[in-house]
Amino acid sequence: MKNEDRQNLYKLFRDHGDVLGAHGTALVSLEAFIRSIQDLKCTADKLESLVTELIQSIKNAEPQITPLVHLIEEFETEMTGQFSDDVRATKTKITAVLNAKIDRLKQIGEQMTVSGLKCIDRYDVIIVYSTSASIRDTLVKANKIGKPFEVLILKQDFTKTRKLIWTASGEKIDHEVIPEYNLSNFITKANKFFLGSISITPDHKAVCPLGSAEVVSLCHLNNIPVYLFANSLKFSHKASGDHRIHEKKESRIDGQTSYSMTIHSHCIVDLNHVDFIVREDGVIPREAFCKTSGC
Amino acid sequence: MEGALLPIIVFLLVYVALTFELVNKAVAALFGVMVLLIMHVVDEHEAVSYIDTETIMLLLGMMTIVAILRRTGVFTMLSVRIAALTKGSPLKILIFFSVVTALLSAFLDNVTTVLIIIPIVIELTRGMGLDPKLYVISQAVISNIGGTATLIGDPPNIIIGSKVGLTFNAFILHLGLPVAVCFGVGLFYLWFTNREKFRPIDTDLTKLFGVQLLLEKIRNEFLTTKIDRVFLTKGLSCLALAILLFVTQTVTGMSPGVVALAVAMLLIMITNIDVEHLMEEIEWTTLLFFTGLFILVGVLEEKHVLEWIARNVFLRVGDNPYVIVLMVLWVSGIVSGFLDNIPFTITMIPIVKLMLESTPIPNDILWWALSLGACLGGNLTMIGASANIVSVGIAKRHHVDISFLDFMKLSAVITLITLVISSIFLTVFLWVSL
Repeated sequence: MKNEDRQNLYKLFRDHGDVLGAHGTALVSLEAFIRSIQDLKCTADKLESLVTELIQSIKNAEPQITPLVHLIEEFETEMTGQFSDDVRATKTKITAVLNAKIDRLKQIGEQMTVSGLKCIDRYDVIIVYSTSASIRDTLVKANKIGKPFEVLILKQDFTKTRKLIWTASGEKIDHEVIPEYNLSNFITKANKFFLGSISITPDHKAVCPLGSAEVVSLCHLNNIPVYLFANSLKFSHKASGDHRIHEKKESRIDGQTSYSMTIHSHCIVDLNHVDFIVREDGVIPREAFCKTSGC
Repeated sequence: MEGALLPIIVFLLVYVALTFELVNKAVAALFGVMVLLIMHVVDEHEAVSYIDTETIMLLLGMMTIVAILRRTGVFTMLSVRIAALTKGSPLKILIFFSVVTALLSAFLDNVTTVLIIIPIVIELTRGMGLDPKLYVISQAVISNIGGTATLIGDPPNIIIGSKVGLTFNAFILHLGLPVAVCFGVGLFYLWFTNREKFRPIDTDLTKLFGVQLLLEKIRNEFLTTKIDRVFLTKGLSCLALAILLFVTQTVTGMSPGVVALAVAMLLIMITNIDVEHLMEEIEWTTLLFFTGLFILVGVLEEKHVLEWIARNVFLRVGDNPYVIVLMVLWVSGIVSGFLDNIPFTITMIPIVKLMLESTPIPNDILWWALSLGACLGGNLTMIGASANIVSVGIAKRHHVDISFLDFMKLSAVITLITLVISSIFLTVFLWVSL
C-alpha cells in the first residue's frame, strides 16, 4: 500500500472521528469492512493477505481508534485458521464475525446510555464539548423521559459540533451554543461537564478531541465535575505517548503575514482532573477507579 | 446605416469589456444603453420595446424554481446516492455522474448543475487518490452537452426558443438525438484517452474499505439539509407541472416564459418561502445583462447594421443551404468558444432571420445549427461557458488548479468531435428536408 493511500485512509478515520466520535467511527468502519469484503474480487489464496493488510492499516491509524482496534484484534483471533479455499464461505464467515462485533458495539452503546442517564439530575446545566455518540444518545434519552436540563454546547470547528447542534435542535433539547473560547463567561451557570474520549491509557490519561484539556482544566478549577464517557472498549494497553496522535505542520498566510502552524488531531487529558468515569457497567468515581487501577 | 457609427462603437466597446471582464457584465451592457440614451440615439420607450420579455420571464421563472428546489437538498441527495452506487469504480464515477449531470443540466441551468455535482466529484475522486481534474473538466463539458438538448437547458436555447417561438418539444425532438450521440461519443473519448486512469479497484480490499469510509463521509458532509418531505413534494410537483406545461405548449397555448413564471409564483405561494431571501439567490446581474444586450442589439438592428453584416459577411457564401447551415454551426461553435455565447446568440438571431429571408431553409434547421454551435462551442475553451468558469472556480476552492491549457487539451477535441457529429446530423436532416 502506498504511503499516500495510507495517509488518505488515516485522514478518513480522523474526519469520521470529528463528526461521529470514536464509537461511531468504529461502527462505520466495521460496516465499511463488511461492504468492502462483499465487493472484493480475489482468489482464495490472496484473501487472507488482503485482510491482513487492511487490519494492519486499521491498527496503525493516526490516532489509534482504540474501540476499533480492540474489536479488530478480536476479529483477527476469531478468524485464525478460518480462511479456506472457498472464497464465498470465507467471506460469509468474515461478515458473520464482523456483524457480531457490530452487535456488541451497539449493545455497549445502549448500556452507556443507561449509565449516562444516571449522571443527569433535574435542572442540570451540562457543558458538552466533543462529539460523542454516547453523550448525544444520553441527552436525547434524558429529554425524552422528561428530565428538565439545559446543555451548553461549546462550538468549535462547525463540522465537529454540527451533529450535536442538530440533535439538540431536532430533539428540542433546551440548549445554548457558545464559542469554546467564551466558556469562562458561562462557567458559573454550568454544574457538569460531559467529556468524550477515544482512549483511556494505562498511564492514567485520556486521549480526547483537541481542546478538551483546556475545557477540563477550566471546569476543574471551578469545581465543576467532569464526567468522562469511556466504555470498556476504550481502555487501551498502550501508554498515551504511543497513541499516534496525528501532527500536521501547516503553512498559513493571514493578510501580509505568513507563518507555519502545528496542529494535533487530539489532546491528552489527565485523569486526575476527571471526577467520574461513565462506563457501560455504571458510573465510577475517580477515587474508586484509581483504587482499582492504581492512579 | 445612417447614425450607426455610435451604436457600433458602443457595442464593440461593450463586447471588449465583456470579453476581458473589465467591468461587471450587466454594468457594461447597461452603461452602453445609457450612452445611447444620453446621446439620443434611441429614446427610452423605443429601448424598452427591444427587450424580449418572453426570454426574461422564462429566465426569471426558471431561476426561481431552481433556487427553491436547491433548498430542498434533493439534488445533493441524488448526487450522494450516485456516489454510493459507483462503489469507487473510477469508470462508474465518470459514467454515472455524467448521466446525472447531462440529465440535470437539461432541465436545470448548467451552472446550478455543476455547483451541485463538482464538489461531490472532487471529494470522491481526491479521497480515492485519483486526479480530480479529469472528472471536473468532464462534468463541465457534459453539462454543456446536456444543456443543449432542451429549451431550458442553456441560455442560448432560451433566447432562440423565445425569440423565434420554438417549442420545448421541438428542441427535444430535433436536438435530443444529436445531443445523445455527442454525449455517448464524448464519454467514449474521455474513457479511451484516459483508460489507464479508469482501472477497477475491486481487487484491492484496503482501497475498497477506504471508498466505503469516504462514501460515508460524503453522506455526512453533503447531506447537511434535512429533507422536508412536504417541501420536497411541492417543489418536485411544480417542476413536473412546469415540464408538463412546456411539453403541452401547443395545446395550452401558454408560452414557456408564462409557464415558468406562473409555476414559480405558485411554488412561492404554496411553500410560503421567505421571498426576500429567495430574491438574493436570483441572478439579477444576468437578467440585467440580458436586458441591456437586447437593447444594444435592437438598436443595431434598427440601424440596419445587422442586415449589413448578414448581406456582406454571411450571405457572401452564396445560397447553397448546406454551406449556410454548416457555416452558422461552425462560426457559432468557434466564436462561442472564445466569447460569451449569450451576447453572440442575441446578435446572431436577427442575422439568421435575414439569412432565412434570403435563402429559406426548411424545418428550422438554421436555428438548430445556431443552437448546437452556440451551446456545444462553449466547450472549446475554459472561458467559453459559464459552467466551465464556475467548475474551474469550485475546483480552485478545493485546491485543484486547472489551467486554461489543461481544460482545453481535453475539451477542445470533444468540441470538435461534437461539432462534427452535429454537422453530420444537420447535413442529413437538411438532405431529408429538401
